Amino acid sequence: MKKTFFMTLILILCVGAIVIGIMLLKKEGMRPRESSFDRLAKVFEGKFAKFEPAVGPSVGLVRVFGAITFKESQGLFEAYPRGALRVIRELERLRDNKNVKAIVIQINSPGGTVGSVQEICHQIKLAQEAGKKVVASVADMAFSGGYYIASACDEIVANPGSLTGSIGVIIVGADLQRLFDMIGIRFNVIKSGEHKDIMAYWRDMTEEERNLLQTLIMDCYQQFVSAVSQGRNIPIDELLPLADGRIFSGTQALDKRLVDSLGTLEDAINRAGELAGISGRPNVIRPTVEPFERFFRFLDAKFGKTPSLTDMVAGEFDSPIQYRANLGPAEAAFVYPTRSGR
Amino acid sequence: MQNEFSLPYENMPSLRRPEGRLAILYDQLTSPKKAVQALSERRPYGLAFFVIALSVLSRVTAGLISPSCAGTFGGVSLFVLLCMGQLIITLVFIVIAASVYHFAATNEDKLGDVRVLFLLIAVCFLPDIFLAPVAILTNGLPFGAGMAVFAGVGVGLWVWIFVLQIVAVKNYYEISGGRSFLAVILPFILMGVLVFGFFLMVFAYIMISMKNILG
Repeated sequence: MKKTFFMTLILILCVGAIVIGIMLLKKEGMRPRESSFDRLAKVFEGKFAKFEPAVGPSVGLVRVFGAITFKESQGLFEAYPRGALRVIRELERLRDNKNVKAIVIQINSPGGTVGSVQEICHQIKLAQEAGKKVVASVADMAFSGGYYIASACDEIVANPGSLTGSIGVIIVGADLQRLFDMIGIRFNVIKSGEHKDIMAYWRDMTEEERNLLQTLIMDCYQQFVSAVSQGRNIPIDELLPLADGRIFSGTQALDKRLVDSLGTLEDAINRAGELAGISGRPNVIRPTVEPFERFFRFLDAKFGKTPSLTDMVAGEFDSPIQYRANLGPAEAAFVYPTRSGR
Repeated sequence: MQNEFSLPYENMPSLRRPEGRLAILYDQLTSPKKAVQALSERRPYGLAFFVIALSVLSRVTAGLISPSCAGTFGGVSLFVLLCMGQLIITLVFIVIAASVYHFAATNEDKLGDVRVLFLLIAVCFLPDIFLAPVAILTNGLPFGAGMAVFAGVGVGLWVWIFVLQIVAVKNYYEISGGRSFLAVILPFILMGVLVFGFFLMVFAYIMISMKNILG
């Protein structure tokens, strides 16, 4: 009888744990994982909030490294979300975490595609609306799209030698018509509309197409400038002379009010803590790199080739055809055209 | 009343009356020798499948919510898929293990029913049911500590299951501990060799492909 009683207890405990686990998974869906206490609290809508780990008020750290793009990985082994998607998920996770009072976004990026940068800015706005203070910390560089993201934050901290700016939009295409003529290749193109093959590499661009793309670029540029103007509280008239694609050092950017202060990542974390009203040195919740992801990244670094947008713009490819094929059709980007920053 | 025709287990007070299935499971955790005797006499195949199902559920749940999990991509659909996969793998493992243990034991001229051995090995997976609660508890710990505790408990449970299998083979076939250890370890060695060979082939294939792609 005693045995039956104890075994029943054990089974209830274990089956209960399995049921809770399944409920967590059902609630979780495709979102990145959190501690099961956090998730459990969500499942029961706060009824079990006492189970939350007692880490206290914290500063969350998110890293925006490399080209910012939603583009799927072209690596052989990479099976995890990266780039803009990862940043968005981390921002969501930190926004939902009640312990996180401020977020520091460490940026080391030459820029990225328009859509992905704007999605990240939207997440920053949502975090701010949820009462979190957001501080950007510029590492080596925050060019173009990287600076777009930084300008959406409450404050920007940059090292004196960090490079930033490059406010502008660029779109790059290659005209290989003469090369193809030379080697005797001709393309048969059947298209539904006049501009369906705009920026095609097999022919030169017409004047009308050039104007179309210029209008597109200027539209994105205006969005960029007004976002920076709003975020940094700099009148557009003052900003426009700085927004011609030029780059600035941290010190120069401070003079031009493009950044708020000079300092390291640690200074940015402390500043975020101050803004959020955390006394003393704040606890930092760092981005977690799962062991499997680390393993796949290692494999990819060893065997795969994952070209960034900067590689594509700079043409770090074996052939012009490969270069054009990887760029994609008419991809506008907030990007500083250099090979560095990966 | 005991007489010269009484069977040995009839003298044992705890086994005079057939025990409930839950009591057998409790014995499996606390005194496996007694559980082996009861299981081999009563042959509760339903109980064996119940234990397998529960251990698979617990293992998969723990795998998806533990601190070492790579992410819950897929949610419940992945859970169902993993459960099915794990169930098949566990059943295949039990069939292979039971066959190999039986083969090893009968080589020693010991008699036994391979179906009972199948049942005994299946019930040996009972400690796996503790994985799910451990995974939930360790998630509350800091990442490193959580992973360490979960991995430690995982290894501990694996060793426990391994020991239960040795006890099952030893008591069912009435062979020595050393021989039953050898019988139990043999399928692991075989599986290890097979898995190593498989990965070696995959790695060789990748390397050859890399050479072709990268020139």
